[in-house]
Amino acid sequence: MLEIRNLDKSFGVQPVLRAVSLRADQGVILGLVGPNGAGKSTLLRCLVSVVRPDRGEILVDGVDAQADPLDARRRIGYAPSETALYHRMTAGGLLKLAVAFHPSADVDLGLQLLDRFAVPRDRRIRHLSHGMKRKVLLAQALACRTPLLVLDEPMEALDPEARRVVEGLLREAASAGTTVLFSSHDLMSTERLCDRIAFLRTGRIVRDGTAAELAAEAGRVLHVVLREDRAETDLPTGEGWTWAGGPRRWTLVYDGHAEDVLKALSTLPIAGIRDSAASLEEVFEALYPLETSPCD
Amino acid sequence: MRLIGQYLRDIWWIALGYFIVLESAMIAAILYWPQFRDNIPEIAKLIPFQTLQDLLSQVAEAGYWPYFAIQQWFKGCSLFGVAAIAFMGSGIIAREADQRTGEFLFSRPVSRRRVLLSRFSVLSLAAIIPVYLSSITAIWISRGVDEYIGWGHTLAASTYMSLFLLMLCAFTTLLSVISENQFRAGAVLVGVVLANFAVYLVQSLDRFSLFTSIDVWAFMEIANGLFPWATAGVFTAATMVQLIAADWLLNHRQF
Repeated sequence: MLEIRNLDKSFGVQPVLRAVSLRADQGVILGLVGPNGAGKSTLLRCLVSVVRPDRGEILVDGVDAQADPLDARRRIGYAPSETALYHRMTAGGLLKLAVAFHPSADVDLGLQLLDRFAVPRDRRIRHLSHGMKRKVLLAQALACRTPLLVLDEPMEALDPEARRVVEGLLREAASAGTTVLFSSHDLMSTERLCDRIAFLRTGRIVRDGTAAELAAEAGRVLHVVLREDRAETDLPTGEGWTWAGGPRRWTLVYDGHAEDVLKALSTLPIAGIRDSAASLEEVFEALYPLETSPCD
Repeated sequence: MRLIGQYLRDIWWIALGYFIVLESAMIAAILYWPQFRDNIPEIAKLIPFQTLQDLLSQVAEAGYWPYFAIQQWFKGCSLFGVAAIAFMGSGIIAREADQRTGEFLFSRPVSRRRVLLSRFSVLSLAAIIPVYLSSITAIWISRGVDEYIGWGHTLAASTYMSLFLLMLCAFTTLLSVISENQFRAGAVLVGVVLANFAVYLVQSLDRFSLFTSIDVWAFMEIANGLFPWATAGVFTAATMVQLIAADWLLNHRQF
């Protein structure tokens, strides 16, 4: 359904995307995760030909997005960031404009979604809250009824209930055969929703897989509660071990054998211990340690 | 139609204002004609530039038609027309960049050429329809001051002026395609036009000004049944070249 091969993009001398390759089959929900400036939005904008890649290939439903961008865009329902909205238009007017060019679009579905999201159709965009603007963007993208949905930060500014609704709608779309690609900073939603997750760092895909594969790759996690406070320097160390938390509640992400870890932990005054696979948050922490996180 | 409707909603009030101002200025100028005609020698003494004095002497010699041509086309349409085009046309594409809405619009399955041409068409119609309407109105108003201007000459002169304005519309469109914000595109257009008018006022340089092509001599030729086809052809060619350049640049622009 969506195939990206060796995509490169630079702005001036600054490389933003480097040899990015991704693939999402029909009905798959693919999450794109990475810190600010990692290149997520640029990648999505390349898909809809708003930004031209320097090199590489994008195939949308078999259509080469660079050779025939118009045909490729007919197959993509796109929700950009909310800054891209026409603030003087009404929510309903903007939705109608957005879907007007999609042959497969269903305006009524879009208007029903606005009602479901409790977004007043006749209210101007500039008078809507951040969350409501996001809902308008989602409604128009879903109303395009395209085989591919590309969403830039769809969960941003949504309250927990709205997130659940959006997650439900995206799952529904995926089960009907729509492929969904979205970028997000909301790791919990991404973990709950995605069939596959790709981690982007300084323009490169550094990990790509299912949540379970990524967690396994990032090691196991032990949640340790101590009877007394301990500094990190007083805790046992091992190769591939990362301690976080403290001074009494610690999380250890480790590679290797559990028996080595348990042997080392026996020297500590342990009040409780719980074993789990790494969450996406912990995978993210492992991939983007604070000191090397790029920021913009 | 959505593209046209969306752009029209943004500019209709400027287009309406332009029409009202052009119409009012034309009516005021026609009604002022009897007093003007009687005081040409005194008015000539007040005019500082030789170029403008030459225009006036043409009015003194030939009467109402050159006066009307100066008021309606040379002054009215070029002054108010340029202002309207600057306001309406500078945002054709630059506003999308300025307000960051380009990503939304150009991610739709609509070609950039279609966006450009539909908006250029709306701009052009908004710029030239008032020229025709006010010129046609002038045929009747002129009878109120006992003057007669023919339909054929008036429509030919309006067409010639419209071609000039179309060239400015294309120039504004080109500026808008390459600009990051609307104000800059409009300011460059007004700056270029003012510089051209300043050049026009300098007698030794006036042949280098665009205003030479729309001053009273061009309209006198039209009144004599000689439509300036060569200059009109240059206007049309310049319009086409600028549009082709705008189309190419827009296709290579990133939002």
